[in-house]
Amino acid sequence: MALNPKFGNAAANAAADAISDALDNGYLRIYTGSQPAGADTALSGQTLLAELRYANPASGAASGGVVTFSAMTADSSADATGTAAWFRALKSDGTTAVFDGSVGTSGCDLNLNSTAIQSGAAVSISSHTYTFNKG
Amino acid sequence: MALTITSRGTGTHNTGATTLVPGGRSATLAVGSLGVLCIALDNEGSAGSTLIAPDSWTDAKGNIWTLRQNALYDNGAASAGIEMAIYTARINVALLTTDAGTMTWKTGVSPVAKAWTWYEVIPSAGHTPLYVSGGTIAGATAANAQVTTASVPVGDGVIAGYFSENTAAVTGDSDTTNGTWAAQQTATIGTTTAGVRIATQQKVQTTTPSTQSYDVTVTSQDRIAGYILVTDALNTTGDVALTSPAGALAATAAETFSATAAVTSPAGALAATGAETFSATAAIASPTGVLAGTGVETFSGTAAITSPAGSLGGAGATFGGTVAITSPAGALASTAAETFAATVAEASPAGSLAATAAETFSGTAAEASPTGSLAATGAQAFAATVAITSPTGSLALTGTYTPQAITGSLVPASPAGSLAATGGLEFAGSLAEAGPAGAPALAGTYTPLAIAGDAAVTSPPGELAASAAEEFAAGLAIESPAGSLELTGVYTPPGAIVGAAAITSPRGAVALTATVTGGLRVRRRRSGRVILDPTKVFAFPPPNSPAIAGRAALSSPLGSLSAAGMMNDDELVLALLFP
Repeated sequence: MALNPKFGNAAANAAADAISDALDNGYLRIYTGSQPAGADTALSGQTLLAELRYANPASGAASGGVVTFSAMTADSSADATGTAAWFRALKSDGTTAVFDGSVGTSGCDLNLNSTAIQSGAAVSISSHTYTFNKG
Repeated sequence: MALTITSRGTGTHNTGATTLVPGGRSATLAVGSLGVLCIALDNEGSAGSTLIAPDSWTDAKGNIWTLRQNALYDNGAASAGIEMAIYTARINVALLTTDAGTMTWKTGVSPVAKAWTWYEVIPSAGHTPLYVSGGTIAGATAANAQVTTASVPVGDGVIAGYFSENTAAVTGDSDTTNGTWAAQQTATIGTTTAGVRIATQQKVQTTTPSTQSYDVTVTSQDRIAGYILVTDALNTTGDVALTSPAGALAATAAETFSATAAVTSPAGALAATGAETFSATAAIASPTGVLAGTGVETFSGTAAITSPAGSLGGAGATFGGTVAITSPAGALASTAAETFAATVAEASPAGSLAATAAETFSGTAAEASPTGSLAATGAQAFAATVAITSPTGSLALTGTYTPQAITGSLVPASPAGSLAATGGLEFAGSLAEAGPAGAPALAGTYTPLAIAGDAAVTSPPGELAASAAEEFAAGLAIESPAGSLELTGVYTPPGAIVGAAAITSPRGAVALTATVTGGLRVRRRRSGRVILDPTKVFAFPPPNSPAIAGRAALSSPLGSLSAAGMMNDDELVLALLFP
């Protein structure tokens, strides 16, 4: 028999809210290089290009397993010049990773208008959602 | 679309002071632009050879002006020469023409003549203007000046300047190579060598990248020159749309969970192939798939690995806390070395449970396989109570159990199958081996230290053979109710059997080929009635010596102890008496 689990909205919202709560006043950091194997994997030579901040609280309540984050504080001056490849979202302590994602110009978790980030230029995110897959 | 560079006015000041409030802007510097200040000042540094322009200064709106280029020419004469400086500032708050800002000279000196020009670098839409680089030429007392820039990309800009300790007019550059120099901004104050002049121009690169040459024509005087390059960088913006994974959840690297962790893969296989470390409560569940833990897992807290409907394999796990590994409907295989420091339960109710490697249990451990085979072929060491149970299958113990191995109670039980213990077993506590429906066999060696308590070896409907040399330090009861009973071993005094021994065979032949030191008491009972003299002691000559040697010993004076003399409901009781 095929595998076919399904989650209800209540469970999906709880999961999505938990993710959002972890990001209250947290960080979203954009890096060069290879995305680590996991969100708890330490950096290994990747360069930090930009750092944005989540709002506090990071979002309102989830609906249908989807949480839409509030406007984030942009990085008005990128830290370095390089090609953005992946990002990491962290708690407000700046060290506890919540999730990682890919960066590109399309088909990625974070899609930018250009992955070529230049030191001193502004970096912003105009919308941010997290969806718990209900199956 | 390229940036634009707009002239924003000039200013001068001719009074000695340790600070300067540069004004003279002709328009507001807008938010998002890059402000540029070029300034010429008397060389008033210590001994005429010290730069005095501050590294940065802040205007009235909080915009920070950073020194980008700074050089001086000192001709060696007192208070002679010229210093130049170029500043840039990202305009985060609009700087009005009336907004002030104070520069404080280094070393506390008070230059007199100062002249400056302003520029505003305006980016194209969606870009941020940035300072890139710059340079200066060596100062000299000379006519004219030429500045050659680094290569300028198309769309970037250059601002070049001439700075002199003189008020003579300067003819600017007008070449059109890859762009046209804008009209010169110039300002002067003072007189001849007591004054200064600044002349600056800007150009935006077009057509193709190249170096730019800034050439001015002027009479000979103390002068220096320099430039900066500016660009506008694309602002990056994007959207995040993150969705939790659907399908397989694979943890292939080393995961560390420092708090409560739940890793669940509802719709696929969950594989943990790396070294996982759980320092707290952890739950790994794969309700409808295969859950495999093939790496070295370390659990220091409560851990539960459950695969209700699939196979669960823990191939190299270390459990420091309470651990439950359950595979209700599948096979549970532990093939690597596992260490359990606390309570452990491995259960495979409906499948086979195999522990083939060396496992060490320092706490309470239970390995149970109710309806399958349970095989322990490796060396198991149990420091506490251990129960190995196989109610409806075969149970085999083929490894070696050292004296230290089992310090508590051990109960290997095989109710409905064969029970075989072929290795050397040494037990410091009680041992009960029972094979009610099969043939129990004890083929190993049991040393004097092996069994320090009571031992019972029972085989109700089959044959019980003790073919090796058994030595017992306490009571021994060997009973074979419905079969033949043979004692072929050697019973050596004095320590072998120091208590009472009873060998009972209700029907059939009894062969006693062993050597017994001491006396033999034989009783024959029928329906509870004693046929033989219950008090008769067959003290084969000589008494208290190796008198009973094999079957001949039963060919006693009574002669009725042979098999032929026994009836079906007779019970023959032999009591071995020892000194």
